[in-house]
Amino acid sequence: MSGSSSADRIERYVQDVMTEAEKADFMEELERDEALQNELHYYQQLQQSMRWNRQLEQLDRRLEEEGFFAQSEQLPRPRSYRWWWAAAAALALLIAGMLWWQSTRSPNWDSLATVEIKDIDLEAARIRGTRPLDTRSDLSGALAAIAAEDYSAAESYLQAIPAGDSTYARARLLLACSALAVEDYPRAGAYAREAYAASTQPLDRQKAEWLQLKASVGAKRPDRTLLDKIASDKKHRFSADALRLKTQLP
Amino acid sequence: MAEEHEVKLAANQLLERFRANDTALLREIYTDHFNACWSKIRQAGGTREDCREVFQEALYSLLVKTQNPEFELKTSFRGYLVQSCFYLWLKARKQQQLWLPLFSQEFGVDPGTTVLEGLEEKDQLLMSMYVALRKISSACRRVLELFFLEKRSDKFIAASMGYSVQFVKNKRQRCLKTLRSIIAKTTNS
Repeated sequence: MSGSSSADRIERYVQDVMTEAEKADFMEELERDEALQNELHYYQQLQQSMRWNRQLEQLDRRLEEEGFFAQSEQLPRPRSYRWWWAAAAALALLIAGMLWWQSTRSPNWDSLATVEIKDIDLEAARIRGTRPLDTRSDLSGALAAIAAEDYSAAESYLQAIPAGDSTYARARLLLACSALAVEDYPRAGAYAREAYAASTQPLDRQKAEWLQLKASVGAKRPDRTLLDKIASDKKHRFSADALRLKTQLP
Repeated sequence: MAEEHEVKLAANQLLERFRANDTALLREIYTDHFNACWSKIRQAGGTREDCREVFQEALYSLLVKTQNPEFELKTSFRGYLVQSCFYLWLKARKQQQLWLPLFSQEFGVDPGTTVLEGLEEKDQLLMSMYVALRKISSACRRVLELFFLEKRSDKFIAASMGYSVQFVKNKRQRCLKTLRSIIAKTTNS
């Protein structure tokens, strides 16, 4: 439907001023024309809306004239929520502030879990950046792979070293280092425990403990007991590092 | 359980009176329930004028809903009205995001759900018309009411408002255009 003539006809229809012939024509056209039906529906809805609006407004005005709202004004003032709202708003702000503070204070777990390879294996640290070692032995191949930061290859070499081998404990320490480097903390923890069990030297055990602790930090569940043990043992190789770590953890 | 059933029954009997266009009903509702709504709005820091506005809107929305013969209230009539008024009041102040969760706990339901429940897509036009009719100028509204509700001629309207007949015709078209534009904005928002 388009054009003012159709609008005029709808207006005449809703005003109920059409002649019988005109109305019959309009009804016939209405049956065929969906747009005309929609437009008529719009005007009928408008009429209905105006009727309800006016009814509600007239009643409101009449009630005001009768003093109805003035009476309701004299209701006993109920317990005000204003203070409650203010308290809720203050609480919401406080919580938001705490969350913000916590987020800014939240440590970077991965960064806290990193380990300097020189602290664990001097040879592995020394060959970094140099040409790869002779890869005839599994340990040499692993060191070369670690130097190239190919931890997956390093793991293959190190896994091949059997439990009875003299380099087994060292291999487990390096495996734990490799797993930490790729942020595989559960495996790092498991390798560190194996290294601890296989170590005969106190220093190797201390390294294993340190790696185990770092693995727990990487997993965001720092082993507080181990941390306290290392920190409180002044002879422990990582005592000072543990004390520093304690201040960095939440 | 029986008590709950009674409450719903009473509420839905009121709806039937709405549907039957019982003219005394609206006044009765004001007498019985306005103060409950006013008490709630007042607690939240609103004015009596605020309450009068939202009470009308809540009743209008109920009138729209009762056009659907299947619409039923699931709570007491007073509970429904108080929740509706409170929701509409918060909505008008764009504060519902902040405060509704608190009051949803108090009411035991989300008042927004209560108000919107039963409103069908086809009812959206009527709801938008409510808003639009209250936004247009009083002169526009008078012209439209005289023409569409009282079915007065342009000549009559011109004489009663001190306009020319042509001016009345033009004004009506302009007012209808404004109304459509507000409705479109309300529907899309």
